[in-house]
Parts: sequence; structure tokens; C-alpha cells
Amino acid sequence: MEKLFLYQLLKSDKLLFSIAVVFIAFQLFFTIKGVETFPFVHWGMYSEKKESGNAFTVFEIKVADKKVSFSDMIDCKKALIGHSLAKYAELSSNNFWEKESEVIEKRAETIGNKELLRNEILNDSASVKKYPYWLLQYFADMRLLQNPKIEITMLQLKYQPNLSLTVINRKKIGSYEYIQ
Amino acid sequence: MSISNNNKRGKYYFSFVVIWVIYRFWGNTLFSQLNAPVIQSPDVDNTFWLLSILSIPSFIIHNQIIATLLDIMMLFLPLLYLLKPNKLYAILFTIIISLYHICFSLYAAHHFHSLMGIIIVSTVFWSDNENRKDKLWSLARYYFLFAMVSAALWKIGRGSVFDPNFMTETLKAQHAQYIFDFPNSLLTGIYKWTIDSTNFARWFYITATALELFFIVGFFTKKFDKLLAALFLIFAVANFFVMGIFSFELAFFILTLLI
Repeated sequence: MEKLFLYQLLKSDKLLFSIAVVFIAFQLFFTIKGVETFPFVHWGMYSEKKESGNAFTVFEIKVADKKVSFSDMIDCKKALIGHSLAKYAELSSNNFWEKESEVIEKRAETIGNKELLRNEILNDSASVKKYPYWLLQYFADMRLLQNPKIEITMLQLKYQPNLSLTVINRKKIGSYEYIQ
Repeated sequence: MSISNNNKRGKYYFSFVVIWVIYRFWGNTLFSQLNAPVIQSPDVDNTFWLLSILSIPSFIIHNQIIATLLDIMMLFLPLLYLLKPNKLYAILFTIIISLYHICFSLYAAHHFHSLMGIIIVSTVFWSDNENRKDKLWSLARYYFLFAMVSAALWKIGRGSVFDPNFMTETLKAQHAQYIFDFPNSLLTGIYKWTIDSTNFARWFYITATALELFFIVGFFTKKFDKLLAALFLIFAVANFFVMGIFSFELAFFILTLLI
């Protein structure tokens, strides 16, 4: 017992002991509840099973008619573009429906103000439609564009036995052109 | 533990933070560089919801002066701490880095964990009391051990470690974009090989889970801390080549095993 760090903490620093116990309690609570609540995160890193089927989604971005390969960008930039692009594609193809809207229904029972939650938590369609413009501006910040236009295409790919990829579906999901 | 040891911890931690800020600046992803994003995803995170309801992230992101000011503070607070350690700099830094983590995750529409190392370790410097700093450092170390062991337990609990095809399917999804973008690159060749040899993929995943689980020894003794740090580095390098994941930011936790 004396060797336990928490026990030593209890004996030597009661404030820190209390903070540590409260942190552990919250961490346990949110883990059991299955709701990540910063800073009580779940370290499930690549443990979740996903039904991928045979098709995999990738994106093709063309800025000023040139393909931008974001998969070899510096990691944080790739994360920002890749994930927001996936969210944009999801919203565009789901008629702007978001899974958070179901959670709003539940949480509104406790918080009460459903309208406030919908306004602050969900994306509004007008804003989402500006995504190609935002992405073009984001790229334009990094270099000067002579022909400022962007085209975003979503592709469904299938691996062949030799692991090359074949396109099984191609859909343009957004574009923007700045008219000078 | 001595004052000089805590000074060393502060020096290493905040020096790495300065490098991290430069890395994020280079990556064009600091507050002011996000260019007022138009899509958000707070997921179901209660903290993200609370801040969104209070309009704090959108206020920061849509106000270029505030965003730039926060960027400057994110760089200069660590520099100030390096010049003259003061808990106020550390407290302010934790608040700003937490806000950054929330804004970046919110507008990148993904719940990242990579900045948790920087955030958790920053709280060590909230105290001027050297004794308490030692204890906070130990708590940060225990948190790191928890994160690693917990990652293994999730893989075991969800059964993914027992599924022989799990890793192959994960790799297919993980690398589809890269293979599509660069069909003939050397890295594509490596990725294809890892996908193709199902046994390698399976055993890589099992080994990674075992390695994460091994961090449990740290709860009982500090004797293996250097070994754990080395194992984490191997884990990070392997992750980079096999999964394409860059774990530099998470590596802040290693400091708690080394100093």
C-alpha cells in the first residue's frame, strides 16, 4: 500500500491527490459512457472495426487545372484537408444531415434550448457550400494562382488482386471559380 | 528530485514546444492560418459542445487579430518560460494549446489525440513548488502509461486483435489515397507489400498491441523507463512506414520516461 503512488500522494499532497482522483473518476465515467469529453479521451487508436466492403473513397483536387496530391503534404496540413474534405463529402451526399442532430434531440431534453444547439452544433448548408471556396483560398494562401479555380471529385476505388486501384465511381462534389 | 531536474524538464519540454509551433506554422495550420473554416464537427464531445455553444472557437477563428495574437502567444509563452520559468506562462500556455486543440479538431472535423501529450505535460509547470512539480511529472508519466495500456485494452476488448483480416483492411483504407496519388512511388511499394502479406499485417498489429500492453510494467517500476521510451520510438517509426502516421506530437510523452 505504501508503495502506491496515489497513497504517497494522499500522505504528502492532499490537493494534488484530490485532483488526480477526480481526473481518474471522470476518465472512468466518460470511458464507461462511451462519450469522449476533452480532456477525457479514449485511446482506442485503430481498434474500431469498420465495414469497408470492397470500395474505398478517395478525393481528387484540381487547383488551376492541376492535380493537388494532398496525401504527401506535411501531416498536420494533410489531416486538416483530408478530414474536412471527408466531412464535406458526407454532408453533401447526405443532404446535410449530421449524426449530431440525433444527439441534439437527446441532450435538448436536459439542456432545453434545442434551437440554440442546432444553430451552434450543426453546420448550415449555406456555409457548407462555401467549402470549395474556402479550400481554394487555403491553397491560394500558399501560392499565387494565375487561374483561381478548384474542382473536387470523390472517387470510389476497388483494389485489384495485384493491389492496383480501379475507379468504380467518380462524382464531382464541388467546384468554385473566381471570376476576375 | 532536485530543482535542476525540474529546470531540465522545463527546458526540454518548452524547447520542443517551440519546434512544434514552427512545425505547425510550416504546416500552415496555426489559428490564424486556418483561414476561417466553413465546416465544423464537434462530434459528441461535451467540451466541444460547450465551447461551440459559447461561440468561442468561431470567435477566435473569424477574428484574425485574436487568432494572430494567440499564435504569437503560443510561440512566445514557451520562450518566456525558457528565459524565466514562471507558472503563469505555463497556465496560459495550457489554456491556449487546449483551445488550439479544440479549434483544430473542430474545424478539421476529426477528434485528434495527438496534442494530448503537449497538453498533459504542460500542466506540470503550473506549480512553482518543486516537490509538487515532481509529483505532477509522475502523474503525467502515469497518464502516458495509461494511454498506451488503454490502447491495447481497446484492441483486445473490441476483438480487433483477434481478427486476422483487421489490419489488412485497415491498411487498405489507410493507404488508398496515397496509392491513388502516387501509384509508382517507393512508399506505395512498401504499403502494397504490407497489405499483400496478410501475415505480416496481422503480426504487426498483434506486436503493436503487445508493445502497448507492455507499458503496464511502468505502473510497478521505473526500472524499464528507458526501454519503454525506446520501444515507443520504434513504435512511432514503424507506424510511420506501415500506417503512414507521424507520431512526433505524441512523442512529447517520452520526456516523462527519460527525465
